[in-house]
Amino acid sequence: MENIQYYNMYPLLYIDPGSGSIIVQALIGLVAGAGFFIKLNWYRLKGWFSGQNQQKNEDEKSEKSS
Amino acid sequence: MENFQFHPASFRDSDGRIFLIEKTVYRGLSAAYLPHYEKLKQSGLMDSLLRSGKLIEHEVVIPQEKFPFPIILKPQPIPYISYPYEWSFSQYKDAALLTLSIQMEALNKGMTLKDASAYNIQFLNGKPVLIDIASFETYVPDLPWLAYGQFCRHFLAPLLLMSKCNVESHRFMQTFLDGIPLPLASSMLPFSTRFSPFIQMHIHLHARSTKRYQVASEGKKAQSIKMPLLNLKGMIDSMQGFIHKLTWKPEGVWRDYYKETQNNYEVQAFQTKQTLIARWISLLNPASVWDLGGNMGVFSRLASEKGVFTVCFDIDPAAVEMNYLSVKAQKAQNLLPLVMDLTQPSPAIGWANAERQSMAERGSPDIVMALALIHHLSIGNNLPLSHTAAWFASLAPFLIIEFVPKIDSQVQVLLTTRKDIFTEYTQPDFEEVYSRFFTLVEKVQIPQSERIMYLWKRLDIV
Repeated sequence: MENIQYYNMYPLLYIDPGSGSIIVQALIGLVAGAGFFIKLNWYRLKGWFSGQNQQKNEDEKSEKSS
Repeated sequence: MENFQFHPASFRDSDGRIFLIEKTVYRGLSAAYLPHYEKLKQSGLMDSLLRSGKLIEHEVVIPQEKFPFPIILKPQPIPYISYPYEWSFSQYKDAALLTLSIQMEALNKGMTLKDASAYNIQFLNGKPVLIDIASFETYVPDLPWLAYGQFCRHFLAPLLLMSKCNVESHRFMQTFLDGIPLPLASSMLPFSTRFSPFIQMHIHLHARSTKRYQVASEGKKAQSIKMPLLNLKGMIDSMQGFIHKLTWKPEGVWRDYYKETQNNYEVQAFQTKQTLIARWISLLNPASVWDLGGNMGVFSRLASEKGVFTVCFDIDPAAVEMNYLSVKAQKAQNLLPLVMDLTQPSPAIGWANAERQSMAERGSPDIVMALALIHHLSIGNNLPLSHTAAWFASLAPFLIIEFVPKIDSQVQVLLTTRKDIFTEYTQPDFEEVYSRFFTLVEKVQIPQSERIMYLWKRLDIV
């Protein structure tokens, strides 16, 4: 059974937001949100990845030398 | 409440209604809206938007008992209200980007735009500005942007059609008052746009989704959907990026303009015309000027650079685009370029034909300029001289007009493919007909040309 209380989450506006528009933007938001997260944290992520790579390279070097 | 009247376009949103007392515009905020208004002030959003010129300046007026609003604002007057179907591509694009940037700033401060109507944006001193202070609401966590559909209909669809189909597609906004229906936009956009993930989602899929969830019972399901703030900001950010890159380049037409300018106006003739118009404007000291068929606004600037508010109307979207881009680059004040087909000026539309006003209703200039225009109206559109004279006289008390006789090369071009039925299009006829509506103030022959400049004063003006 559907939860009636859920329907009260939306404030009613003087314009009709359009259910189709809400569904589509929620979908778009999933992709755009991920993209935006990467954009906001780009330098941190880059640092993290390059840090990992550096570690990997160092591990490889040490493996070779041993 | 003498002379108190609500603006005929201000009935949709009861939170903030526009009313007029005499000719002064006020916005009354409802009691229900007050918590949002307080939040707008306390969050610092209002100050920040006012500082950056994104929101219209306004003063708070002490409310009087006779008006049904707890808070009354007096916004800075907009000298000429313009509508999206009169904007050039870049004007439209800047209006869309302004809306998105305001929404992003609002989200950062715990608020959101509850509507995204293109009619809430106006141009003031060459820049778009949001005029509706009652558009802000407190952000409810995880709530999608309820104005997203309206944004797509009012901004995204027209811009995409202008960019990908035809730049005159903004005219659809005149027919569809609440924006271009997405199924229509989707059917008109080229097939190739289906391969753009952005357009596919925001227009094509959105259009299908709109059709599918038209039924209210189906729609209820959508009301349980949550959208985290990060996703919402991500969507706004990606829309900003996409619209920022959207272009329309009328290169061919622009080149032709330069050529035409060089061919038609000998330097001396051009300078004479400029000096003369500048002198007439100084003489009349107008508060506002309308330059009809003003092209890229070369002569409009003779008025606007003197601090006179000037609207430059032209039918050519490329000319208006160039004019707007140069207004923007030069940070020019007092000049508003707009696309307008003078043979059918923007009509009054909307509810009771009073919601959006006609071109003429929205202002009362002191001078109308009609330079190199009369032959387009008289010969290009078969308008008798009495019709043009009567219309000009209805618009302004003074008229600066250039008469372009039949022997002029531009008129000859108009006549090459048609029968010359315009026996009354002569200089004596022009003077006789226009004298029925105006008194001649001054008349000057432009050297090295057959054209004559006239300054007319309407008969009722002493």
